[in-house]
Parts: sequence; C-alpha cells; structure tokens
Amino acid sequence: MNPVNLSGSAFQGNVNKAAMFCIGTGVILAIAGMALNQSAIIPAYLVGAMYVVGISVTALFFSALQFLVRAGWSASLRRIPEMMGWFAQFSIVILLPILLFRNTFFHGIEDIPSKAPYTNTPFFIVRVIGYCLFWFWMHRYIVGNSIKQDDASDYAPTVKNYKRSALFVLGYALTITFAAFDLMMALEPHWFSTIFGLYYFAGNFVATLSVLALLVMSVMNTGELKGFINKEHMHDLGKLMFAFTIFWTYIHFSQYFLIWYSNLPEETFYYIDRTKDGWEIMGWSSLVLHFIVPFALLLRQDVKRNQLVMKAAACILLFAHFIDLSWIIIPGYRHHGIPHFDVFALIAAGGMVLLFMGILLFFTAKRMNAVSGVAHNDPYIRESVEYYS
Amino acid sequence: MSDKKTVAVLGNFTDPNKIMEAAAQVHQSGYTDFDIYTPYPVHGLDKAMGIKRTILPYISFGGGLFGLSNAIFLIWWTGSVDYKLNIGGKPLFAFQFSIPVMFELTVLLTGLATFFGLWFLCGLPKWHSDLQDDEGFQRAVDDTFVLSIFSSDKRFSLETTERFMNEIGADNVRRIEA
Repeated sequence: MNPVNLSGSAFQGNVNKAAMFCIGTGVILAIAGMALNQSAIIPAYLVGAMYVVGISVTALFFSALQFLVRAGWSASLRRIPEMMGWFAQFSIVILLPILLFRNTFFHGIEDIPSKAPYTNTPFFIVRVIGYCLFWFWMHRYIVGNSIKQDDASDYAPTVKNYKRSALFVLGYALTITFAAFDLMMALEPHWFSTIFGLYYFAGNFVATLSVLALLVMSVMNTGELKGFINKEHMHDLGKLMFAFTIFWTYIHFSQYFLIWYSNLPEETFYYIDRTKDGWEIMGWSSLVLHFIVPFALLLRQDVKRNQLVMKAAACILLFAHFIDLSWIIIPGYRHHGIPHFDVFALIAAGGMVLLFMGILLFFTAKRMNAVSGVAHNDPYIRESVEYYS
Repeated sequence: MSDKKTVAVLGNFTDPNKIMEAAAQVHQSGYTDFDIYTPYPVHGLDKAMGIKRTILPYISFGGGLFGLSNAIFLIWWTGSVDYKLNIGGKPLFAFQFSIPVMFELTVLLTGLATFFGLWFLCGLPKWHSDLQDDEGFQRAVDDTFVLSIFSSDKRFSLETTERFMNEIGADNVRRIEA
C-alpha cells in the first residue's frame, strides 16, 4: 500500500474552510454573548476548554484503543483521529488560564477543610500539569509509533504500541476522570459523584466519533482515500455512535437515579439547582438531543450507510454534547452572576466551543502537511481495506 | 423405490467466483426456491442470490415494545393499583424507579424475540434434512460450494433444471430423492 499525501488536497481545503468558518462564527458569537452578559466569560471559557480538550484527548484514546484490541477494521481510517489528537499536546495552553485564575473559575473550592488535602491549589496545579504531560506523552508515543510504522521495514513500532497501549488506555481513564473532577465537579465543592468522570468520558467519546464520522464522510466525498475508506467504515462509526449515545444515557441515568433514590440533601441540590430557574430547558434538551433523537435516527441499519442521516446525527450529537457540558458548567455560576438560565451565556459558551473546535480542525488540516493520510504500512491495512461488515 | 420423489437438484462448485456468477444466473432466470451452502461466509452472495432483507429487525423491535409496555404496566399496576405500599415516602409510581425495570425487560424481550424469531425464520429446530445424506452435500462444510434448486419452485422441471445447472458450470449435477 502506498502513502497518501493529503497536503494541498481538496479534503485539506474543506477541513480548513470548516475551521475558518468555526473560528469566524465562534469569535462573533463569543464576543456577542460575553458583551451581553459579562459574567458569562468564565463559564463560556470553561465549556469551550472542556469540549475541545475532551475531544482531542479522546481521539488519542480512540487510536490507543485500536492498538489495544488489534482492531482490523479501523486501520485505514486511524490516521484521522491521530491527526485530531495532535491538538491534545497543547492542552496545557488551553487549560493555563484555569490554572492561573483558579479561584475565579471555581469559587470556594478551598473552603472545605476536610477536602483541603486534595483541593488545595498547589496540588491542583501539579495534577492538571500531570494530566497534560501524560496526554503529551500519549500523543508522542502512540501516534509517534504509528507514524514510524509508515517507513519501517518490520512491525516493531506497531508491536511497541500493542504493548504500551494498555497503559495508555488505563492512564486515559484515570486522567479524564480526575480532569472531570478537578475542572467540572469542582464547580460544586460540596457535591460528589464517583461516576462523574465516566459521564464526561461517555459524552466525549460520542462527540469524538461524531467529528470523526464527519471527517470520514468528508474525505469519502473528496475521494483522496478512495480504496482505503468506504461505506463499511462509515457504517461501523455509525454503530459506535449509536451504541455510545445509549451508553451516555445509561451513565447519566445511573448518576441521577442513585441521587434521586437516596434523597440526601448534600447530593440532591446538584439536580435541584439544575432543574429550576430555566436550567431544566437545557437538561431536557440534552436528553432529547443526546439520546431520543439520535436513537431514533440511527436505529435502522441502512441509515448508518446514508450520509445525510449520519451527518445530521453527528451534528445533533455535537450540539447535544455542548448543551450537556453547558448544563453541567453554567449553573455552577448561579451565585456568581448567572442566577438563572441565560441565553447570552449559552451563546458565549457556544462561541467558545466553535472557536476552539475551529482551532482543532485548523491543526488537523495543518497536520496533513506532515504525515501520510493513511497508516499504509499497518499490519492490518489489507484487512481494513477489504473489510466487510 | 417408486414412491420416492425428487425434492431437489444439486450441483457442486469449487470456485467462489463461479458460485457468485451461478447465483446471479439462477436468480436472473427466475428461480426463487433455491439455496447455496458454503464452507465460509461469502460476502455479497446474498445480493447475487437476490435474497430480500430479513424481517427479523421488526420482530426484535416488536419484542422490545412489548417488553417496554409490559414493564410499565407491571410496575404501575402492582405498585399503585393492586398493592399500595408506602416505601420511604416514595411515590407509588414514578418513572425514575421504573426505568431499570423498563430497560431490563425491553432488553430481555428484544433478545428473546430476536433469538426465537431467528429460529422461526430459519425453520428451526430442524431434525432432518433431505439433503443431509448426500456425500457431495456434506463437502459443503469442507471445500465445496453446493447449489440446490428445490422441486417446490414453480419453474422447476427435472430435465430443464438439470440442463440449466450443467450450463452454468455445476459439477456432479444430481437428484435428491426423498
């Protein structure tokens, strides 16, 4: 199999165009929203940061997972999440303002003496830098070996990935869980939920698959990877999207159900505050857009091979993930300038998400100049090309 | 053995590409009641044979709906109609505590409907097949693709069907009697 140079291709052009569109509308929406409600600056930034860091790191996880399970089907499309994951290296840049102004982001996080051994600021900074270093290493190792394989005469780089991917998947699980605790659950210092990290992961994985499906469909239409990626791969991405929307709902309900049943004030206030003052609009719409609509859309087999339906489902899921993160984050500032549901805060957060996603796409397109568009020397590439589901 | 009737005409193929062409030819010449036995899944063969999409998903979906509605009814009727118990001040019926049961019964009934729906559509359990004693047929689990046209097909007639099988390149064309 020969390498595919995507540099200067129509696909790269389309990704660049999408990136510019996202950045442009993102900047306009973010400035408009923040101008109309200045208290929204902090929550909007946090929503955007959690959105883009989650997706770029989960793209790396997707690649590591394919190595861990020796996946055959995905070998020909694996380079696309690896390109998306390039941005994960710069997570520290995105998270730096949160490190610098921690007490503006998370009010009262250090005020609980019994939690202070964990929540104190020095330890927090060390932890977040630790996550970012781990993600940096994950990209260097997994994607680095994947690219080394392109020119290798044996399968040594891939075998290295096979051995180390288990560690990276485990490390990803721990870092994404504690990142969710430190950067989102910290908005409610008194509240706790052990499943919270898994909830963040579930949303991330669906969003990452949606971006991946959109990119895969885009490259199918421009045709640079013809012979490598076909409808079978798109169908499988659709299956994963469908399965993980259900997984997200399952985790979401698991968290809510135990809190509802035990009915303890120290836990229930999280949901009470998020189902009044207009916030319930976001809670319900995230449930409808993240579960009911995609479930109905993606249930049938043939629709997963239909670009129109798949594109609609992916866009709806990306929007729903944004609503979901906003529903977690923005009500956390109800005592700090956003007492009730505020459409300008939502617009500001949406703008930040678009801006950051635009930057991610811009870096993805830039990465096409440096690496082959397909892992053409992967031991499973033949199986992937001839894959039939 | 004059009371025996021919139930099918069988022909063997050794090349997967040939069986693909043969399947398309049999389908195009109007036969509907025929089958092909292969030692491994041959992708695209179902399309060449003109097999319609299965109705199994609808059976599964029906089973799922049945399980879901049963679960709602079960929880609601037992808890808030037939035997009212105040447990920790919880409402007699609420969707929150019904969802696990709704979920489980939906999954269970979908699974059972799919499993037994597949049995029904495949005609299982099948204790005996008229083809099973034929030596050429038994090679379908090893290295041979076997095409079988059944006498229940409207277009079936012994001589023409046998000639047709030979024309499309089948080896060892033979009748199965039962």
